[in-house]
Amino acid sequence: MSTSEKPQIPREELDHIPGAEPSSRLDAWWWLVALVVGITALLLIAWPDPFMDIFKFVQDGIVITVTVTLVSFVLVMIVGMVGGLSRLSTNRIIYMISTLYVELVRGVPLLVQLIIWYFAVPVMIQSLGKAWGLPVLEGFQADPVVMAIIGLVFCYGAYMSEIYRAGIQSIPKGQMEAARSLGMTYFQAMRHVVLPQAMRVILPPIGNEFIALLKDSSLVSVVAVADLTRRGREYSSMHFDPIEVWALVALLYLIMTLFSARVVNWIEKKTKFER
Amino acid sequence: MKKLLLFSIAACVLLAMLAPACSPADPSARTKLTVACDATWPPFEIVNEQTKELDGFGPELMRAIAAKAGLDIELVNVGFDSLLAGVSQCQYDMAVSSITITEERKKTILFSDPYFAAGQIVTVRKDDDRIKGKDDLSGKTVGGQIGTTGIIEAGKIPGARVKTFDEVGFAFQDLINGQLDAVIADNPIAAGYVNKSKDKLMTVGPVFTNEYFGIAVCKKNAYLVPQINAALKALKDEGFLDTLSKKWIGQ
Repeated sequence: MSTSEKPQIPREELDHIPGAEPSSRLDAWWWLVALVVGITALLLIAWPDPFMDIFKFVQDGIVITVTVTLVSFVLVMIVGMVGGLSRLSTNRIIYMISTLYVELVRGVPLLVQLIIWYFAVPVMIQSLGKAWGLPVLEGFQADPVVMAIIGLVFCYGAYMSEIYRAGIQSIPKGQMEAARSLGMTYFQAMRHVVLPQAMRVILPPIGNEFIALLKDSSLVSVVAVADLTRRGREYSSMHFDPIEVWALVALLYLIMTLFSARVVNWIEKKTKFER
Repeated sequence: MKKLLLFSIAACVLLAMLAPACSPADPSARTKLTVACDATWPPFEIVNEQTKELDGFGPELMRAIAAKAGLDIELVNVGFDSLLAGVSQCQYDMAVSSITITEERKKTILFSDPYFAAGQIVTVRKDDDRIKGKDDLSGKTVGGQIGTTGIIEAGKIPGARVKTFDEVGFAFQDLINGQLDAVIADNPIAAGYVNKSKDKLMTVGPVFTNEYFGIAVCKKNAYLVPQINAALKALKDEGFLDTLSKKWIGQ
C-alpha cells in the first residue's frame, strides 16, 4: 500500500462516528422504491395513451385508498391497545368480552364482514328504529366510506389486540413490579414503563399490519367505495384493456406498500436500543 | 458465495414456477369452447338453486345454439367487468350475459345478431315521490352494476353521483336500504326485482334506451359468428325464443 493513499476508515470505526452510524444511513432497499417509481413514471411519460388516461381516471381512487387506510390505521392502533390491555385484564368480564371479540372477529373473512357492515347493519338499525319508534334510527343511512372504515377497524382491531398482548407479555414481569413498587399506579406503569418497551417489540408486526391493511383496503370496493381497485375495474370495464390497467394499479399499490415498508424500517432503526 | 448460491436457488425456483405459465396452450388440446356468463342477472342469467348449474334465458339459449351448431361448450360464471375484458382478450371464447351491442364494445368484441330487445329504466323506492324519471336524477345518487349499459347511461346524467356495484343485486339492496336514490338497469331485470319486493320498489318513467342483446364472440373466433347466427335464426323461426321469453320473463 502506498503512503500517499489515504487509509480508509475501517467499517467498525465508521459505525461509531455520529452521523455515519448505521441508523442514519439510507437503507439500501430504497433503490427498490426508486425503481418502481421510475418504471411507473416511464410508463406514464412514454405511453400516455393509455397509461396517463388510466392514471387520471384512478387518481381520486388513490386518495380514497390512502385516506381509508390512514384513518383506519390510527383507529386500529387505539382499538388494538384497548383490546390488548383488556385481554390481559384480571377483571373476568372485561377479559371475556375482549376475548370473545377477538375470537369471533378474526374467524370471519374481512370481505364478509364488510358486506355485513354495509348491507345488513343499516337494515338492522332501521328496523330497530321502527320497533322502538325512533325516527333518527329509522332514517339511518350508511355512508360507504364510513362503513368501510368501521369494518376495517373492527376486523384489524382484533388482529392488533393480539399483537399488543404479545408485545406486553414479552416485557419481563419485573418491569411492572419494579414500577409498582416505586409507587406508580397500574396505568402509570403501563404508560411510562411497559408500553414504551412493548411498542419497540411490536413495531415490525405493526408495520406488517399496516401494509396488510393498505392491501386489504381494496376489499372495500365491494361496498361501492370508489377506491383504487374499484376505479381500475371501472376503467377496464369501459375500455377492455386489463393488462395495462392492472399493471398500473399493481405498480401504484407497490409504490405505496414499498414506501410504507421503508418508513417502518426507518422508525425501527431510530427506536432501536443497544442490547 | 453463500449469497450467490441462495440467489441461484431462488432464481431456479422462480423459473420453475413461471415455466408452465409461459408455455403456449396447445390449441388442439382445447376442444371445449369457454362461454362466460355473469349469473347475477335474473331472470336472464342465474344459478339454478337446485342444480347449482347456470340457468336462465341466456344459458338456455346458448345451450340450444350449441346443440344446433354442433359446438362443444362449457359455461363459466364470472363477474361482468372481467367477462367483458376476458372476451376482448380472448380469455373466453364467447360470452352470453345480456350484453348490449354497443359501438364501443364492437371495437374489441364481435357480436352475433341480436336475440333480445331491451332498454334502460329507472327504479326508485315506492315512497319516493321526488323522482318521476331519468330527468329528475340530477344531484341524486344513482347506482348500477359495474360495466353495464345502465352505469354508462347513469354517467351521462349531469350532476348525478354514480355508485358502481359488483352485482346489480347489491345496488337494489342499497336502494331498498335507502342509501341510494335510484338504480338504472335493463327493464326486464328491473321488473324482476320490483316484482320480488313490490311493497318497496317501483319503476318510474319510460324505457329510455333501445338496446339489443347479442352473444359476444372473441375476435380470434370470427368463424363462430356465422354458425351462431344461423343457429339463432333457426331457433327464432322455430319459435324457441318466444318459448324462452314466456318461460323466463312471462311475456
